[in-house]
Amino acid sequence: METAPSRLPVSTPVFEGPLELLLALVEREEVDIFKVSLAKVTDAYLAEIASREIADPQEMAEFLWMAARMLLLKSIRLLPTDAPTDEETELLGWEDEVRQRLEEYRAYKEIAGELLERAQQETFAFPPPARPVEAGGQEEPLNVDFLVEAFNRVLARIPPRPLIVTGRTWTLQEKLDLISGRLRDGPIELVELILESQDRLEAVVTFVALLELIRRSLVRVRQKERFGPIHVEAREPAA
Amino acid sequence: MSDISAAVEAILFSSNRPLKVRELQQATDADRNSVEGALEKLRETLDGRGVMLMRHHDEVHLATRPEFAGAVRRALRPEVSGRLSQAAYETLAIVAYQQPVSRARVEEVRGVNCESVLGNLELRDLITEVGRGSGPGQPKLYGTTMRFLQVMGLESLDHLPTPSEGAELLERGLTKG
Repeated sequence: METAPSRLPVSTPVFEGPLELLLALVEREEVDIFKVSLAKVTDAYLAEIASREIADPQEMAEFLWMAARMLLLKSIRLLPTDAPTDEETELLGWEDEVRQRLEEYRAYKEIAGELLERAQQETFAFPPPARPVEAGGQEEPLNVDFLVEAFNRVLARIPPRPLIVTGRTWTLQEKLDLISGRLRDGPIELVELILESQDRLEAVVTFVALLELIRRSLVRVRQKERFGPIHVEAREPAA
Repeated sequence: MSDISAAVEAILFSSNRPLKVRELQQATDADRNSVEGALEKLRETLDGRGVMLMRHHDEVHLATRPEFAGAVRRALRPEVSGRLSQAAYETLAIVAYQQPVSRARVEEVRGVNCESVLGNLELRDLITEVGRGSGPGQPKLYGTTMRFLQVMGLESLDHLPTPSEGAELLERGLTKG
């Protein structure tokens, strides 16, 4: 008998593809992926994808394909026949293959977690600074035209998000607060800042917020060498 | 410390980019074995010091030890690097353990399209194209960069964390031909 599929306690706001969802469901069932029956999590899987808005047709097709295989598998398990047909044998082989993929994916997820932990523990190994050693802020304040140019280059690299998420919208004020807050911890690299955006709209709001901060003379933007990284830093308030 | 080892230390100290072993050979007028020996000696000498010798494939560089990142940050307030998404870390993990690896292989493991996340990591200089695959279309193969080691505070790829489970699986990825 299956236990009633309680809603999955979701730590990530959205699952990226069927594999990630399946892994979360399987792990809730059983620690040993190779022992768990995929049929056992079929109901929970269906409930999850029914409750989600997946706008991308390709993505939806992948979720549904997995669901169809799981339903078929479940029906075989519920109505066992003496001699498995070819289709059933194939399906059981598929289940093993999926288990293997889940095992592999889980291993990488674990590593990803450790890398994330390392990065959060402030483990950066700083290389020697750029030579020639700069003589204290001699570089020119950056022209806004260069800034716009750099922004356009980065924007082109942010693709439209394939999977529609809850669609958080940012107000200019929120971004202003966020950037000002981050600047208190030290300078920010422009490209990095913009690349944190989930979509182009957010990137644009970030950039407008930055221009606004420049206009209010709250930040200074500098570039040490042509085509080098562009840094944004807080400006001491004028006395 | 041998002369070559000291010379290598001086060169690396003053270089703002990783150097290839071959470049060190030319600079010190020594053969490969001597330079490798000098590097090993330098690595030992730096044991327990504030800086360490970093190695990424054929490139070497000096960097501050990750234990002191906080102190360096407080003193110099270097730029804060952007945060990566969960998807980015997963992709980074696969590239790190399976390099050189194609986008198709990364997508096979994660089960989703990884084009944009790979592009993002490449733009951040955490991964880079290291060659072309022999398969149809000669797909781009990705590997990690020296910057990846710096961001993670790793001396070399040998110092990547070992997973508690699925270790043999990843082992297979690491011991590629």
